Amino acid sequence: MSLSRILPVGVFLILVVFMAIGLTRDPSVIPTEMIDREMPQFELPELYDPDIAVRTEDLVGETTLVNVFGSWCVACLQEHPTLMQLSRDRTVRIVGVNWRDKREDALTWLERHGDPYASIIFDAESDLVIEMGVTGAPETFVVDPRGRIRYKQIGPITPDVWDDTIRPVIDAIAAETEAAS
Amino acid sequence: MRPFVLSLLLVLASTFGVATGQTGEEIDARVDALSRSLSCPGCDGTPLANHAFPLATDLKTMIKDLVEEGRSDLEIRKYLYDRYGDAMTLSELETVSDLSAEEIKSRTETVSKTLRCVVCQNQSIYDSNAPLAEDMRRLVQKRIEAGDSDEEAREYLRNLYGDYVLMSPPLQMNTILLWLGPALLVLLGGVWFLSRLRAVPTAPEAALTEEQRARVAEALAERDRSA
Repeated sequence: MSLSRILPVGVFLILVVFMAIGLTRDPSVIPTEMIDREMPQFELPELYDPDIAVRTEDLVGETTLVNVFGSWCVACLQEHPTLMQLSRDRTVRIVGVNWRDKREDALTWLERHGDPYASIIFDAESDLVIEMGVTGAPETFVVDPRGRIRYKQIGPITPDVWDDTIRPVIDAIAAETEAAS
Repeated sequence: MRPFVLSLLLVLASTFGVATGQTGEEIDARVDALSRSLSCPGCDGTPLANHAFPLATDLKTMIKDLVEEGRSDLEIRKYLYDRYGDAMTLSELETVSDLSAEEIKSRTETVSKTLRCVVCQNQSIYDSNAPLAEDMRRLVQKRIEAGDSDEEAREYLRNLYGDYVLMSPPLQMNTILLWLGPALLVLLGGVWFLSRLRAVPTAPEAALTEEQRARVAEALAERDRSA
């Protein structure tokens, strides 16, 4: 068969392959650059008491979920029951990053829906959130005891997400820590 | 007895950087970076690296030991913070910019136009009204005020958000098809066109048979008559 017959078919097939790959991708999900990096340096006020400063060093020492949320964030409500359950079971320490919120709004929201957080960082101007490469809420980072970011969950933590993706990461970190000590 | 031997081995190993797989240069570089980002207690918030009196030297040795033990930078910071508190945290140095307000504004604008808003991906952070874009513009301005070049300010955000944050994709391995694609298509089209030219030779003029000639002549004659 001559080249002229194969060429259009070939070009067509290549286009099909590229478009098929394109269909499987979600352009709104930006891959994170933060995996295996240390948590960025920060020092920000606590939500409940602005006189208390929360700093990067406070996260070191145990595995922590760092959860970005806001009272304006609709999808955050969807994951809230899961976070509450984790907090009741004392499964893992959860630290909140209250993002671009008003203090009163955040406090009202927590009063209404419950507070699963060990402490809450008040980030009104995205100082920490940009340093962590966050693109929207909710986003949750798994930070190991050494202060390294090991996983980032974009979107709400449903019970399925917890069982299938986050729990295994936390178990792996626990196994590592045990092996090291 | 055994734990003692083990710890002795560990100390020996770490002296040679074996335990953590770090080379001597890597260790020195980390100690240097850490002591530049920590203040020395009682030195008015100046970096530990600038000082060589006994306490400062001891602290640097302590940092080096911790680095050799394989602790992460954050673990070392926490270790020192637990012992010295705020005395060892170096607040961001105030950099007095000699740029005019106008220059900062126009450079922030230039850089902002080349960065993609990560919330609304078809706009630059300059065009976008999203709160996150606003905060990113402010960060760009802060970087420029701190003395970053336009390229450095752009790189700062690229380091956090990846290539996605750049409005125009850089020419690199994974974008090479994007950049060379159009030229490649023109080339392939040209090859295809030329190969067709050769594959289909121009058909020779079809000669009319005697009978057809006669019919044509007849038809022409008919037309002339009726005209």
